[in-house]
Amino acid sequence: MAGNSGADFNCLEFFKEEIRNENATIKIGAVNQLHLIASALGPQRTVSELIPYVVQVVQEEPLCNDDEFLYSMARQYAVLSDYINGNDEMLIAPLEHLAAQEETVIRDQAIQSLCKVIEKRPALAPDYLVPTLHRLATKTDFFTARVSACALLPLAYRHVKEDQKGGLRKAFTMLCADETPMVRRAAAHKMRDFVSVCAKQDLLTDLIGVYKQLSQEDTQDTIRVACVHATLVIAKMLNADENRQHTVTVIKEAAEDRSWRVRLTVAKNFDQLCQAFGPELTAQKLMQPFIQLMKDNEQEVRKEAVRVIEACLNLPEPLTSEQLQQHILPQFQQLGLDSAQSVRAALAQVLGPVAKALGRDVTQRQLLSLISDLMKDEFHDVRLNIVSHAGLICEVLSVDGLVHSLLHTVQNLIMDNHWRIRQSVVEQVPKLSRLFGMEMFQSKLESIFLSSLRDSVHSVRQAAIQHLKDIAETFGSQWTVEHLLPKLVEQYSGSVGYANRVTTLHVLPQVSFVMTPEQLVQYIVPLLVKATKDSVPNVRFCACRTIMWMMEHHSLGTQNINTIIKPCLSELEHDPDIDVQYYAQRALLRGLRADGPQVFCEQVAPGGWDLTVDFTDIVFSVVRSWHRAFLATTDVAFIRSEINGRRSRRIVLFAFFCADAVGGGLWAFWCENGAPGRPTVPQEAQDTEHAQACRSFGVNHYLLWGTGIPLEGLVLFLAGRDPWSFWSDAWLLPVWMVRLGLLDVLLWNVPPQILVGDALWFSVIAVMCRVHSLVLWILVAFEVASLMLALGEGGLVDIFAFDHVRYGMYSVAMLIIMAGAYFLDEQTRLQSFGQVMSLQDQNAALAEMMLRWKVLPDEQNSSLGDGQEDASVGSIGSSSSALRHGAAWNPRGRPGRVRFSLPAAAGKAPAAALPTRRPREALGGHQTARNLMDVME
Amino acid sequence: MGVSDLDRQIEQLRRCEYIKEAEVKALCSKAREILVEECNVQRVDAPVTICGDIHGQFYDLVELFKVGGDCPDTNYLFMGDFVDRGFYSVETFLILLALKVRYPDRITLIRGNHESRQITQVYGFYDECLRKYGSVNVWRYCTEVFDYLALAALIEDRIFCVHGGLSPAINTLDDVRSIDRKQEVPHEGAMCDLMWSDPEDLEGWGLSPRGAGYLFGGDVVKGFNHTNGIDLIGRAHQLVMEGYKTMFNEALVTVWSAPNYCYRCGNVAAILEFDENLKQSFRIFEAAPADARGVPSRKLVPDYFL
Repeated sequence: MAGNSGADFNCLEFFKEEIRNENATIKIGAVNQLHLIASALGPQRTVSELIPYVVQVVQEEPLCNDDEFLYSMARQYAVLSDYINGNDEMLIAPLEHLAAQEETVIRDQAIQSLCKVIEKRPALAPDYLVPTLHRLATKTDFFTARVSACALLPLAYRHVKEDQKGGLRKAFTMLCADETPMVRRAAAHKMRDFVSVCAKQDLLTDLIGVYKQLSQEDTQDTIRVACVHATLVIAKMLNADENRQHTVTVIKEAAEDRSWRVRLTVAKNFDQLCQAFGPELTAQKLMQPFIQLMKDNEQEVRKEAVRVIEACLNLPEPLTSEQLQQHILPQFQQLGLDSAQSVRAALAQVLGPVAKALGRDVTQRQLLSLISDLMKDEFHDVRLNIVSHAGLICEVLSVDGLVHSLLHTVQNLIMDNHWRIRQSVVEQVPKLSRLFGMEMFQSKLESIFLSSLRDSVHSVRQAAIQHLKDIAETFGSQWTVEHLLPKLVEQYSGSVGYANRVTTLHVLPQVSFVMTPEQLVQYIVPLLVKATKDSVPNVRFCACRTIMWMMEHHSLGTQNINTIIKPCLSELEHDPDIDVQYYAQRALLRGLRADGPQVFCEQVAPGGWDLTVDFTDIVFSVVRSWHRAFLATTDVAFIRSEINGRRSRRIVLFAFFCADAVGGGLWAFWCENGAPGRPTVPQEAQDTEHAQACRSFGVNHYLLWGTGIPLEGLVLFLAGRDPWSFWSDAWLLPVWMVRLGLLDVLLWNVPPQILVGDALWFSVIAVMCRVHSLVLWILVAFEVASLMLALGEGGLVDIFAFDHVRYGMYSVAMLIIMAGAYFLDEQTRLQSFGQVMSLQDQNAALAEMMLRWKVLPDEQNSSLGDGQEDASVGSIGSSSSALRHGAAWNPRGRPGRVRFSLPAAAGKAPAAALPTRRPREALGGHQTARNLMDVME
Repeated sequence: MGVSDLDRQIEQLRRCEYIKEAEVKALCSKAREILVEECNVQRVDAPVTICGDIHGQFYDLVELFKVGGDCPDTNYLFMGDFVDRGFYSVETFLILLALKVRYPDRITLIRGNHESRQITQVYGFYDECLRKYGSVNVWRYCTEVFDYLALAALIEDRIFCVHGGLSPAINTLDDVRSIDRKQEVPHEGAMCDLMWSDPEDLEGWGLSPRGAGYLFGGDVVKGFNHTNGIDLIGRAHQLVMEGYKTMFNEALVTVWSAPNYCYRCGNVAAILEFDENLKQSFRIFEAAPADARGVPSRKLVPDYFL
């Protein structure tokens, strides 16, 4: 068949054309699919042609000024490393070029790609990465290259030889002392990573100096923030004395830093600091600064300092009870009166764990008044937080004593205006009821809990429903049936709104767990039957659902189902409301399944149960699953990934065709010119064999050959023309089917052993052509069928005959095993393809994140650091995020989304360049143009 | 499209993940089949909960369902303006549409002034479709559905619900029923007024500052209610800081269901529940708290190979 050089040539040319395209999206699209081009070219040509070309293009006008192009390119280099057969070193130089660019996004991506390449082949680090790094670190024309060098250092240091490490440390100290602030900042941000790969001795000799120097840095607070993070790592490496000497002062100063950002970082990471310094140093040196943080001027700092207490209590070596009492508790009174709501909310959040750590006496003495104050706080988050620990606090305080004041508060809170508070109180009730016991629950909590079943807000009702199960289990079956159930039934009949009836229907399954089937039939089933006659359709179908649930989870007894439940449901099957009909039908069906075969047998004769529904259900599910299998293997993306695997198909098909053409020619010659005499075979046998094998509908054999072979050639050509289309497989099937079914079995009636040979031969070809597993299965099924036909035709179906077992069973099994193995193989490939796709998605997510930093310069500083700081900036810088939200209707509101989540989509979207600061400024005018009327609409 | 498919799509949309374009297409064509059967003034049975503007505030819609109960257990009537302004117009409209297709008798959607091609191109729905699906097809399917939405609803022959308000061209409900509604919202005339008008404390009719529709006074409402034998007009269309507002001796009520409108107005929202005896109760709710709002999902598999 056709060679494949033509296609390859087109690939490269096509790529060249595409990236010269005026349209930005086409250009970028082409770059993003570079790996496709590379896979089509093969590793050798990628190395020798594609990469040199790309490297050249990147450095030439006009594309060297196209930031977006360079960005995509930086990303693609890492992808290309899978397609160049291990020649990864040739990617380093181009990435170095990109890492020295001015644009942050491009540099970051280049470094990411570089890291990826090095992580894949760490052996490249000593010989290729280190020179690159030194070049970048000493590049003086513009600072950006040095920033990139900072980012590369930790990774490089991990992989280089021992004798190179000194040089890298020197480079790092140099960068830390760089005169450009941006470089110092980048170095500070990477200090944590860098230190963590250093040996302790090297750290003490070379790096501690720059660490201290940076922690004194005046101009930029982010550098000092980064120093706090680095301290977390350093303190762990050093022993107590060394820590006292080097790191403790840094933290002490940071806790009193004039920038709140630094203080916030200390407060947020205080638990990790405690862990890093160990309990002894913490007690000696850290408590005083921490107290200062709890008294800080900035409310964010106070909030974080309070919030971190919980984490400190969960450490392997937590703060001791003495420390809490001595240092922390004295601050709580002040914090409880804090003017900032969020601080009080944080305090409310930690009180539960603190109380647990302190034990009953201290809590009762020192915390109780605070707890009851906070329970009455005007801000609902505070109340919510304290209530969510109510169970814990009660456990600590134990039941007697001051529990009444707590109960009072709970009673107040369950009538709170804010429904989330009511919900969380309801969630606490089971825990409280376990503590209080039945008496107290009945007298104090029960009525308010049951009233929350009638709450105006659905979610509160739901919470009450779900927690009723716990309560029923706590107090047992007898209490539930004798005490609770009558109240629920009363609630059902006494209620005015349909919502209450629906709620009761939802409650019933929850309490049913503690009841016996007899009790269910006695108490609950009548209620359900009543509900099916309700005037409101919503109640009727809820009843159907509850009935269905009951039949699934409990055995109500065949007799009861048939006499009580089934008539109700059958009636509802003809309800005017279609939803009621639907749920009634489902419940009926479920009733059939739940009670198993007995019901089925009893009912099948009178024709009460509709069998056909069940049957069609099964048929549909089979059809659906086949459809799904079909879709999975015809997924275009998947098929395209198979390009390489299927390239050989044309060769296989060509061979197949040649064999057929020659074989057919010989056959025609043999039949027309008579068989050449074979002395060993008797003449008669030869004649019958001849006659049988030469049946041809009476047509001249040459004529048959002359028309048949071109026809076959045409079909095979079509099958090979577009090898990765699903339909090319479908072209192959008729060829095989005609050969097997029509010619072999029906016309020539060949003996089974030849048929088996043919069948195997076709299956082997099918596998070699890498047809879809679905096609292979069809082929195998057909082969097996024709084999059976052949055996049956010959009147040979005799399971006791040795030959039949051998030819029939053996080959059938073999075919099926082959098809199964192939199917599994294909699934594996499908799966690995899925993994590749998800990796690509991760890349896109990362890129989008970086774009956000770029577009929102306020957040840039902190987000260059590690992830921990992002949250703080998110909450403090809420004004900037509010600005973003305000820009809701602007299509640029979420920058970069079009580009990175939907590369294909970008084709039709307006060709947006990399979002820069421009759109944000434009927004101002856009917004003022909107008058108030417009908003009020 | 089977029930199980629909249920899966509804589940997916509930998590604020968008469904495939082909699924949107199928959903919209099914929705059109259902909506085309509906009357201009769709009859609704009590009990029902009526809701005002949503404006693409998906997580607040989830909050609404948390307060009011899930569909199908609670019946809903949404009075238009599902899209535009908010971040999640696509998800909001699609989940409402999916619920409509799944439970046609449990949920009723009527048309608001934002359910129009022209308005959605300006106020965000168009851009959102383009951004999330990469083509305008989804927008096109949705706007075709808009043309089929009912113009108004009538609860138990007693409560008339419409997005905007009354029109000088309409005296009886039959006038509404005779409108040919399957078209883009026109710039004037009865259909436009139903979606654009506002009530105001004045006598008779006034010019609307919106540039479309009219202002109508208490006497107009009284006359209309008397003529058609209804007790109450329910409508949305105007931001009310308290979530709802009754006017003209409780002859008209404005319900607003987008809390903290545009994520910055600081208003509360309301829904109005009618029980089976048409007893009214308002449910007030606030915007969903920050931790209930997810990060937008990025579930679409890009067609890298095409």
